[in-house]
Amino acid sequence: MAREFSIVGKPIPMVDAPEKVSGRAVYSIDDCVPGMLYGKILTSPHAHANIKGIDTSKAEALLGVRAVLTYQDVLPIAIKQLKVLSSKVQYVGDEVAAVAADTEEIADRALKLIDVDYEVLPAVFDPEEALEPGAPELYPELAPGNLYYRMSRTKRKGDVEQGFMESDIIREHVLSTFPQAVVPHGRLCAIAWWEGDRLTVIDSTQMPYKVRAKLATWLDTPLNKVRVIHKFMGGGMGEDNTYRYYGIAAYLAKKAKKPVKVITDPVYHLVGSAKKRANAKFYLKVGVKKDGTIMAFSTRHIWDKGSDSSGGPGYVWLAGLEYYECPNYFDESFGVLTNTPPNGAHRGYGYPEVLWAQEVMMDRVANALGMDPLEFRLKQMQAERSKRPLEIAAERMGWKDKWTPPSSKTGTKRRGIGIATVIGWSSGYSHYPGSSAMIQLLDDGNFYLEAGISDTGTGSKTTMIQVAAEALSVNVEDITIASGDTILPPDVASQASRVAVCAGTAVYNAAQDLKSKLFKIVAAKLEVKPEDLDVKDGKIFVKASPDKYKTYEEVAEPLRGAEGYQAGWGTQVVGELIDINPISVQVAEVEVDTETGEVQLIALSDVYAIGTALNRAIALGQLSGGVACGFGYEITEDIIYDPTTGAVLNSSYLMYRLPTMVDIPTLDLVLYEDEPNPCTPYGQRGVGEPSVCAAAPAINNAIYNAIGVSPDGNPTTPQKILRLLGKI
Amino acid sequence: MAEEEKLPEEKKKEAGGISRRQFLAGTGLVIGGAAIGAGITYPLVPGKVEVIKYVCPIDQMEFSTFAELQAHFAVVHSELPAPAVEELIRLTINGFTYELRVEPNWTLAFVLREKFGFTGVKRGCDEGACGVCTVLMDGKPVLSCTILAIECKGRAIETIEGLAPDAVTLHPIQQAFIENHGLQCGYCTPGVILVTKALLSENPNPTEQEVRQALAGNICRCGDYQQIVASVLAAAAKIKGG
Repeated sequence: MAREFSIVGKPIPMVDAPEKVSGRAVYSIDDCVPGMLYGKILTSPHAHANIKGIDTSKAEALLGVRAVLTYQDVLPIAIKQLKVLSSKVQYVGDEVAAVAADTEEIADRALKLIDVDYEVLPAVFDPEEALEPGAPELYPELAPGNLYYRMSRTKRKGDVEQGFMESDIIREHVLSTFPQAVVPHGRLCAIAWWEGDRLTVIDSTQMPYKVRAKLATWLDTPLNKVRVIHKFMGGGMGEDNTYRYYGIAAYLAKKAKKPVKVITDPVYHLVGSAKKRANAKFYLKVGVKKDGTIMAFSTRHIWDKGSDSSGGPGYVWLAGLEYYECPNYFDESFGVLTNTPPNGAHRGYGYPEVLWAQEVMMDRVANALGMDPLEFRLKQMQAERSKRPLEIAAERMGWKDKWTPPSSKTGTKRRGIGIATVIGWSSGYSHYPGSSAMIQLLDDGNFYLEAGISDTGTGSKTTMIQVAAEALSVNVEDITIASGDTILPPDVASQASRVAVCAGTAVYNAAQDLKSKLFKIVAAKLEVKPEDLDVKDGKIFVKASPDKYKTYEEVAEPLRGAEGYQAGWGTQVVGELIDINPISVQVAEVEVDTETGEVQLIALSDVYAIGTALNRAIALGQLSGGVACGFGYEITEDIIYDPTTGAVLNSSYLMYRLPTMVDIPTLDLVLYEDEPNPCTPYGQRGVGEPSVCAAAPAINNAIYNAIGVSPDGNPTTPQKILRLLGKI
Repeated sequence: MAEEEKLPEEKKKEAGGISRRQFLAGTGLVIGGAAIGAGITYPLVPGKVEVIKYVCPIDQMEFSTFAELQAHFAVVHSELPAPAVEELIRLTINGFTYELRVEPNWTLAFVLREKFGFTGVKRGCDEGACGVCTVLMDGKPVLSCTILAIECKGRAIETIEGLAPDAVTLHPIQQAFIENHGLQCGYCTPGVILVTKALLSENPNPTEQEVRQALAGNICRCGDYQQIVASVLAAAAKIKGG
């Protein structure tokens, strides 16, 4: 079914890999500009407090300190919670003040000399408590009762009450997820400087244009006076949409009248990213017929939005309701503000939470029916396209031989097999526009591609070159890309698995635009019509007589004198077509030690319906990375809050356990190149996020299969397992 | 330690050579129970007359001896760690010899990055948990964020910048990582490649399990683990193949 292309799909190495393997790749923390000062940020020890006063005199008197920034230096803007610094702190770790000094050490020392007079306020950490009358309110005017408006909605279909009446079995569960920290390696760091009224910021960000927009708002500066430069980035994964460190850098640079490099501490990064994935609580109720047909599904979910209502998912419904072709459902969602770090985005943007709950619930229902969870899922689906990846994954893992009911397992170490299937999203070509690109033909027949996307490490520079090379029918080496800078053709952000789809379409359109211009020129020279021409292997030729042609070089060289330089422009717009979304099906096999409570992942297969992979090796990297992130979500990672102070207790990388190479076995990763996506030039779909979503519930379901119980909330720690087994 | 290091300057002073320098005392780092100070020095200008002046960074009071500044700290700024002086160290980095005055609390990572510009040494967790700052010391992988530069006197350090034989050719391990997609964002890559070099020099034929054990301390948040394993095994084959 897969379509073959000359360059698209080929697993060519990343074009920027030589810089990365030789230490020449410059991330913002590695960068410097002449005369630069070092900036550090003071954070709040309180979860909720008014700043009654700040005495910065001692810090300012310290030799080498050039500027101290407090909320008094920050311009008022309409939306209070978006301010760079505020007179109210909303979580332990919230920004209070900042210092710019000659060295990082002096800046650190100066922070200790700032005296802050806090009026400590009552705080609330649990979203359900935050909804109770009389709970402390974070934004009484914007979000009365702590209810975050964008998140509080309902969605319904059919008649749920009738559906439950017609059901033979009804299961109810309360499932919850924890706030997984993002923590990619790259240290959050920005260098800012002013030249007159023009601001330039170097920031390893996946969204330079959004950072530019925020800086323009914060500093009341027009967009054309702000430039944001992304060079290399130590992983994106969504996290940077609620941080303020780059705003602090811009303000410090303005106050100190010198470039300032703000270097954040690892704890700032870990705590600040600890709520990007929300902790969510799901009240689920499912009614089924004895034969396994789902009759009704109702769910009420409560999302902890943390202390900032500006970021994070808007509304996320239980994504499987339509996929499972459920006739009657009711879905109600609440977003609630609490005195914890701001909720934001983390590889999946709300979907890992809902899909975890949905897929764990599906297995609970299947087990109540005494049905094989694979058969139970297949029964709900009519579309061949939904069923096939399930069948492939099950077959590859030997599901038929390995799956036996939990009651059949004995022994100290028990093996189990579990499945989860998620329908992802393809970055919403049809509803999420915002990419553009330009391709210039150079004098020697080579090309220069400019695209605003920032390569977060996913290889998008490489895949965009592959799209352009395929469209122009030239070699990858003939194209050089410039990306990740707001002086380039704009792009909304490298997020939401949208780059392959949206930026890929823009780059393709730019190539088509350039070709159409060149065809007109060549047609005149060869005395044919432009529609008589085609291009192959760098030659624009007459279709009827291929020996009549002009190479790109032959076209390029005389252009300067006659028609002038040629470039193609491409943009991606909202189309009429609807994406065919990707599907990730994962089957996991685990071994649970019933004495220690430890879980070992034995094997895992991820079958990913991708349509077309732009670069198969890069796409496989996204699958392995997604599974590793999902594994951490289910097994190793955890955020532990102090219930009395709201501080993150394990706010260090030694105590926040990221998955390592010995945790994750070699995975069976399958790119299932099924029906192409009709919205994209080569049929590609997004690939960055859905694999995160299926891994965690597949592992949870495998644990259930091994021991007959699984925790109602992730992560599955040894303690939770031993408690479920009645051993502690 | 501090006493010894004062000697060259004391001698200079006795000999009449005086240069102007400022000393900034700093935040401390507790090692073996003793608090030692930190700070920044402005380099000596060769051949210039020196006036030694120890300036308190908190209240700018000036002292003529280091002991006086320490005493001042003990009385007036007892809440802060006592200051300490820097030490001259010499080390070999990627085959070249370097000499530098270091503060006692400067880490090897800080010196390599901020004093010599080896930014291939990445800055990550600063507590030895993530592996991105890994360098080779006398051929063995070490976490440069948790090693003090002062401990590295006379040692041979290798960073990722020293791996390739010249500016155009890459090392076979680097080539294997490129060809096998053993990297995504690239931030863990220098550390991973240096551990690989150490592993393969000790064990040219590692099993997959041995590769995983060797690299267990190098976190890759992009989750590129199996591609890294494939890259290491391909590198081993490449090196054996000559």
